[in-house]
Amino acid sequence: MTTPYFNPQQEDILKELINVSFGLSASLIGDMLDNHAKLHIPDISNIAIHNLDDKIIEVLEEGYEFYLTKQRFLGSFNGEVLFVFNSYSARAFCDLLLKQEMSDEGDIKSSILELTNIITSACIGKFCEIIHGETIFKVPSIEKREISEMDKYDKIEGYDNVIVIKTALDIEKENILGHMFILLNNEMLDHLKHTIDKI
Amino acid sequence: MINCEKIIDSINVGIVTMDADLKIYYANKWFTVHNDIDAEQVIGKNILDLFEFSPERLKSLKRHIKAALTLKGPSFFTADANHYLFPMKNSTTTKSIFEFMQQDITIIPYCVEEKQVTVLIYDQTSLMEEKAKCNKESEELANANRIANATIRKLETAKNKLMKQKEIIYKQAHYDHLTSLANRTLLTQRMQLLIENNQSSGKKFGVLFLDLDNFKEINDTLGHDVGDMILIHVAKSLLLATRKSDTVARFGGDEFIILVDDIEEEKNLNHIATKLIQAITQPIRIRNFDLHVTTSIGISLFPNHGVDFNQLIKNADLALYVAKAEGRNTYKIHHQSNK
Repeated sequence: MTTPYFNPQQEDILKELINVSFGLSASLIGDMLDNHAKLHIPDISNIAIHNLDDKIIEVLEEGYEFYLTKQRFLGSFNGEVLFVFNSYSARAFCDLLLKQEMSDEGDIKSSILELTNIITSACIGKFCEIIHGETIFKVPSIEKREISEMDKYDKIEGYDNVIVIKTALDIEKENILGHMFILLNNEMLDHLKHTIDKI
Repeated sequence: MINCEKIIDSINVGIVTMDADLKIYYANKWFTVHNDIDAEQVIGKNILDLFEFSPERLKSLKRHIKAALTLKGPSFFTADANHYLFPMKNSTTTKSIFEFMQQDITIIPYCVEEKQVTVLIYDQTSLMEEKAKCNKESEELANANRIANATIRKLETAKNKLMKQKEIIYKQAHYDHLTSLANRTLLTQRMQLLIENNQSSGKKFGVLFLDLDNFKEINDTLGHDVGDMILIHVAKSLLLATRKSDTVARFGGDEFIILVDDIEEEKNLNHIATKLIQAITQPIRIRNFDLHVTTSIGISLFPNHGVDFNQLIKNADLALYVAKAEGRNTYKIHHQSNK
């Protein structure tokens, strides 16, 4: 097994791949919102799975409550995608999508699920395409969590590595910030890296 | 040859194929049964002819179809976040707390060129009912927890109040209200304890009976309030001149009794008595008057001069009488007084 981290060349290619998939997502999101949307990735990194909770706390900064979406993908390329949005970003996106004065928890959750469904599908689809793999998406789930209760939530098992992608969605004057976490086991990460090396 | 249509018609999932304009091309048996319509009535119709969508739900359906076609992948809609997309009445097939079937929906591309998708509808009503029930129970539990915590806090406050009251009552029953020294009740208990302990160990303890000299005159000339101040001052002086393990009690009026444990030799009592007399003799300044108070002390020793409370007090009192007779401001030990 090689090092779990990406070298600078691998990171550049990965960024490019994600940018391509994000371009497609941004156009779709823009259509959804009847607005111009720009989706970019200011930052990408790779961490070990046991650092996931600390990383989530770190990226949320001051936020107390946050939304977490989870979606597994199965097949020859398999893993799980998590998205984390602080309450402000989640509500801001919901307001832009639904354009209604009062939004409830259900509205926020469904809006975030629509957004993450698009990004996940585009991104994982792209990864699948380059490694010539096949994948089936499971139904995603979303829940509201509290940073102070992090210790009480069930830990996600079965993965070794996490690709952390900071995603910034610029729509009008809003900057909606989220974090995408792609959970992979060592075998899948190696597979992805070897494929990237060949590009 | 496997009859796929037969399988599709027997599974517990709704399957509808439609295009981006919401025209229906196919619907399986589940879909027709749950909507109480014939298959022939469905094909070629627009979904809007079958259901009355709210504007928000209609927009959401169109967005999901577009996402599936653009991404060439599945688009999901969950009962957990949205409850339902197709307003299918639960009363058609079952009874529920929800008017409409709670749905997880997956929209997958069927023919991208023709902008056709397949919509898979999963009935999640039972699951959502369970969830609603769980949420209600959790809420009730949280409420019960809050009430229990509030009751515990109230009980703790009441307990603290009771403890304080108990402390006050104990203090009132065992301590002198003016000087805060032990009263007769506590003195009796302490002496009883000393007698019991020292009977088994063979140790000795002293009983020092103090009476302020000419205190009546002070009371008569300077008033009872000054007298009380002197008693408080004397009490403090006695506490300072004795050990923490000794018992200093106000026996009544201007009489004090001190129990001193661990007396190895009788001569130790001389030292203690002298120290007490010196402590009392220090001038007291009250209302710009320098007052001089003296005390006489009578002493008895356990077990030499008695083995019970009355005997020890009586013999100490006898010794005190002798000390007074010999000119006051002095002390006498019981057997010395008898000599």
